[in-house]
Amino acid sequence: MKPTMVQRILVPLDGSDSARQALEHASLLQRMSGAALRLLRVKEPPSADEHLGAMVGVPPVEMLENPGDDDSEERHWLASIWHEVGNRDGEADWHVASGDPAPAIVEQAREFDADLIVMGSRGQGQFQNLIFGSVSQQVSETAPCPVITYHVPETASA
Amino acid sequence: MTQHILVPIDGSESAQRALEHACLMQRVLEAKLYLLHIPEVPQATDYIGARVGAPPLDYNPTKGREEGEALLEAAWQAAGGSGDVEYHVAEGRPAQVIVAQVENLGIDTIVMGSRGLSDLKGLAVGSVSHKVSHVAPCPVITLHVPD
Repeated sequence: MKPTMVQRILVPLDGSDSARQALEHASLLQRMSGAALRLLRVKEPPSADEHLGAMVGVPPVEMLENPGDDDSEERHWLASIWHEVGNRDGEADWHVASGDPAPAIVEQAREFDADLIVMGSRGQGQFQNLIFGSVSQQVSETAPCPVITYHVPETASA
Repeated sequence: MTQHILVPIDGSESAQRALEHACLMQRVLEAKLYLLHIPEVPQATDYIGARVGAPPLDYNPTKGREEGEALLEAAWQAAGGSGDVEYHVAEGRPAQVIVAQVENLGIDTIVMGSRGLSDLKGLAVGSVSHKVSHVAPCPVITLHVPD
């Protein structure tokens, strides 16, 4: 992959400041390469709040029966970020997936046939990251293509 | 305003990809690149030298510097670099040296390769890029290529 030969860039967005900066960076790459961008938002199902469900961390029963086909809120959110940060004349589309973020991102990279993923890093704030690595680390280890991770200092992102 | 981009180079594939990426950023942002190599001081192979971990007798910092600059020059040529660039060779612990250069050289962004967690050493002590991205006072862009 020569950077100028990139054709399809996947940009997962989670609402963090580092993800927004990653999108700015991807837009810069797009201006150089003319690549197509796909913005991805992964919906994580909420944990059930009844006793047993909360203990084992499964989604509420109604989420399992009806995973929620209504992605309009997320799509609207992606579109508004693109209008704020993205290239006016660049090609982009948006996609909403649901599930565990890292596998959902890697699956979308395959589906989109991405030759690059550009994403923000939220670092090691959460305990589970100590064991499994952050989402960006998990994606780096399992993605079929190169992964660029954008990390901003804690003080700047607070 | 000129952006100052630091690119640590260790001779690995992912570092070379990171350099190519930095060259692209340089063209768009009219940036200046600072290539940094941190030589690992070799260990002597003779009996006593190997036991105590001393460098070989014919090693000296000047030799390390010359070899480091040759490696940076080769990486720069291979990446097809053409803009404003400086070479730096510094000894020490990689993550600490890299972060120290941010202030010394007035760096805005670090662009570096990541070897990730796939090797056991990375798992135990954390990869250099991982350390750098958590302590650097500036944004850090890491590039990971599939094995």
